[in-house]
Amino acid sequence: MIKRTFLKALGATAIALASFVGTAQADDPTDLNIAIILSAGIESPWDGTLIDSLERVKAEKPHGLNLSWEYTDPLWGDDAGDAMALFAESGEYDIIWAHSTYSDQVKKLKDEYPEIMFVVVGSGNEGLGGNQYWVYKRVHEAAYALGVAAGKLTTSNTLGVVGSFPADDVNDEINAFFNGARSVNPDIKQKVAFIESWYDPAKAAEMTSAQIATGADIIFSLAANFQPCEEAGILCFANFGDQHEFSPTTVVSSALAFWDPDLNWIIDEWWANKSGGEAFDGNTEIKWFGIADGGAGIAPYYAMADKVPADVQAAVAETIDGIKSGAVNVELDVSAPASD
Amino acid sequence: MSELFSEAILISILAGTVRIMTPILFAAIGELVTQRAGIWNMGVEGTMLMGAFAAYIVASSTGSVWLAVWAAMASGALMGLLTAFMTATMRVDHFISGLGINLLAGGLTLYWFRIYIKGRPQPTFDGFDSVAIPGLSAIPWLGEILFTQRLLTYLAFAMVPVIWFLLYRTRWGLELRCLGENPKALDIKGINIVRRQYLAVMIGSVMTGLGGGFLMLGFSDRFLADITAGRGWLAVVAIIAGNWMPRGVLAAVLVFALLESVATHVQVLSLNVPHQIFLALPYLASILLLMGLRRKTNQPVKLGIPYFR
Repeated sequence: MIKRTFLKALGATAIALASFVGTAQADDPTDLNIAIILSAGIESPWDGTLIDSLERVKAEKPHGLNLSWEYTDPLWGDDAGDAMALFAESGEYDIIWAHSTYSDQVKKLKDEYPEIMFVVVGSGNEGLGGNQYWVYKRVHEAAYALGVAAGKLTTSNTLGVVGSFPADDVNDEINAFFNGARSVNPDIKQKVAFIESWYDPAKAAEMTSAQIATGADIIFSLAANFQPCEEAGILCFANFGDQHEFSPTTVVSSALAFWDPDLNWIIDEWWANKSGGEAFDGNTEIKWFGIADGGAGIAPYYAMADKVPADVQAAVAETIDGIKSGAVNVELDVSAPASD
Repeated sequence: MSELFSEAILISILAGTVRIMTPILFAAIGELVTQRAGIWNMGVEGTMLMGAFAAYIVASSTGSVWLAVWAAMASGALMGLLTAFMTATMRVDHFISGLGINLLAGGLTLYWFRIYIKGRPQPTFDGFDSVAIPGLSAIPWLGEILFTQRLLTYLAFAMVPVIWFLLYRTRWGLELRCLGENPKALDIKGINIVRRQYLAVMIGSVMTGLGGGFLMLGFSDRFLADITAGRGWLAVVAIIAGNWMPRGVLAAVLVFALLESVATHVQVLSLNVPHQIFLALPYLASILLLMGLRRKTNQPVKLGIPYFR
């Protein structure tokens, strides 16, 4: 009798527990909808690589979530703020990912929509904390590895970099590129120019031509115009996305940005809030994922492998391995670079 | 600073100047015809943008730069037709129609561009290569600066005397200039004012479209939103700074381009001069020129004023 009563009680407890667990699982979100404010356009490496990463993360179904997203055309200032407000007001979006300097706009909205997670990206933002998270992308380690290749490949010992704006997360790459080159070739002279725009191929072409005229025989182009390199018959390195296709005969490799670890971090934080009931606790200091975390890398050489001697390829691979293992520590130098 | 005056750098600065001049010169010398006819086309930026976009679509989908040139000119013609319809036929305020053209071009190119590249890597193309003119390109200094440029650059410079000749040495040019000074006189003579204004706008817009096409085919391998980056506006400023005279417009475009080229090289050479000063100089120079020209302006008297019989 006692045994039967005990078994009944055990069974009832098990059913109650199962139903409790079942209820908790049923309450967990199954969908995550993200609204994205783009800053330069889907065709730009900065924005395009985010969408590529989203596709990869979606396939992984983190926490079993079905990811979906909408993105805008490039928006800035009040227009971006209005778009964010509309996304928030619609009630359809769980995360508003503003893919550049938008903390001024987020500041006006974040307290009004405390259930929504806001994400801002890159330099120029303010760490607001709470439901604003601050993603940062540094690909300076990848730029350093490309610099190692450039330092070994150059014959004039003069390297050029054409940058967009002299911003913190642009300067770090440029300085790292030259530092990487100097790590294998101390005689390197550097030429730097900024087009002072996120996109102006004509100005980028002129800057590149000017650098070639000053003796640069390898260009690291952050402004994505390789035509002058083709005309001059010199090698180029590209930035942020694999840009081999744009100039298969000049682009040796590209520094790559992967947003996968950033997205997974943000999704984990969102999940902890929605499933675990933890309050949003956005970072007020920048947080970035490097090569060791899968946040950056370099593109394959493709057919350009023929132009990169085996010892150069080995030096680059060794650098990447060293960065991953911690044996190579790439200095983070965000000071404004200038030409020698 | 001495590096700036080395032979290689000076040649690079001047060769760059000629390249930078090309798209602005096409637009400025073409729009000079339009403005001489009394139409103040403020839609130069948008027309140039459409030219660049049309050139991109055709070059990246067919691989033919010459088809792309025709497409740029055709898109310029279409924008010109629209501008002429608004200004000459509908007699809309020229500034408002120009702003409308710019907004339309910005929106349409972005919309079509997004559709064009959707779901695939952005297509690129091979643009014009430099063409060394046999014999002339071997001349020290001048050869590299003037005679190792792209074909459209030669055409842009050739258009300056052509337009000058048309405006100042032909009856058609005299009548066209009269359109901007005293259209009533032509009207009384029985000349179709509207038809002449259409033609003047079309000439300017086709050349502006060609300028946009060069911007694409000579400088870039892909289109980006708002790729003209203010060059159309600079063409308008060059006409004013050039006091509505072909030689003056050429000189103004030369000064703007030279300042930009120097700014580029100053930055690359890391001279102790903020390069931003040089970026602002073209605009500063144009303001100074405008102030100096006030007393002896050649601005057509009826420029921007719709003609009513």
